[in-house]
Amino acid sequence: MHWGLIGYAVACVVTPVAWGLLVVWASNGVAHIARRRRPSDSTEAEEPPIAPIDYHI
Amino acid sequence: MLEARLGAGIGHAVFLPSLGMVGLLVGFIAGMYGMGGGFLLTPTLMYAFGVPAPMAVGSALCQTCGTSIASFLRYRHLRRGEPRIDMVMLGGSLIGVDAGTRLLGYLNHLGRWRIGRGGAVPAVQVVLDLLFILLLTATALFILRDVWQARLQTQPRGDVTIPGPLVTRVRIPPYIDLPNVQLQQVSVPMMCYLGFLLGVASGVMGIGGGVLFTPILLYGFGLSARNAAGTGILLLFFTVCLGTFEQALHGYVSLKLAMVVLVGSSIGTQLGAFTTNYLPNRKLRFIFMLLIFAVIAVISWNLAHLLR
Repeated sequence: MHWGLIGYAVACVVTPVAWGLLVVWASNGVAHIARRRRPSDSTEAEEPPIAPIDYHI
Repeated sequence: MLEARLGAGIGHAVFLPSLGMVGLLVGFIAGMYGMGGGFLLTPTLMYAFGVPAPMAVGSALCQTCGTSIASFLRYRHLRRGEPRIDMVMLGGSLIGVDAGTRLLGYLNHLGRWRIGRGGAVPAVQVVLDLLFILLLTATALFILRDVWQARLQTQPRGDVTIPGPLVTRVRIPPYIDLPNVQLQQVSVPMMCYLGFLLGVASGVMGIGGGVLFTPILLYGFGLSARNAAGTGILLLFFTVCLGTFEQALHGYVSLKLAMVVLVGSSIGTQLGAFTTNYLPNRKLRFIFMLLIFAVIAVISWNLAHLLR
């Protein structure tokens, strides 16, 4: 088996995983900024509400 | 300029924005309905873009690596579900995904079948079509049952576990207790074989497995919807990673195709999750069921066209 093929197979796993991590990091950042901009006296929802339908693979 | 020749065996140019739109749509559905959408992606790649069946399977599995790690990280802090289920099923699932990949390779090398009076058709395409029709029909019936039960149910069930037939009827020792979901004496061999079957489905069909696993957890184990959603994500992540690696070694993964779909689906998932705030749950499920029936109709039409 060629090393190139093994490298490609590793890239096929690592690249989408890296993208997934990037998306989570970015969405967490957006949520953090949104929380900070919210008025501090609003007691409602320090934690965002859970979506009505749970996300599953 | 926007067209790209997606290498590794596809053989024809694919318009990238339309591929991204498919990712967006699949992600939107995933975000709305709480399933990964792999079971919609593989047939769409095969029929809308003419991607060969093994390549569609491998690439769909590849993009699921990204969606599954994102889902795992989102669910980690909720601490729902039972991690012991993931641990026990992992071995069987990894062997299963290896077996599934080998089975896909075998089907691909079978070449063409001559069925009836029609011309020769690719064996792998026929088998995958039949498997998807079977899986999607079962899913649609499961959702129909769910919608019907929800209509009659006046009070939410909450996080209570009502032990299902896989727990009460399958009595093959040794057993394991699952305290997080209030289950005792669950058969370990049964869970291992279940993991194997889910792995085979991932390897052959390019699906993450949630569409199969969620009904099993809800009705087989009797878990609540929230606990079922939090169970098995880590298992599926490792399974799709190994599956993608093996499929790539066989030359069945187009990384470029998978990444374009993944970028689209990342945006679509956020939009889909946002939509759930504005549409009632029951109506969403009903629309989902209609969508699945539409996909079944398209696959059946294509299969009939192939066999004619």
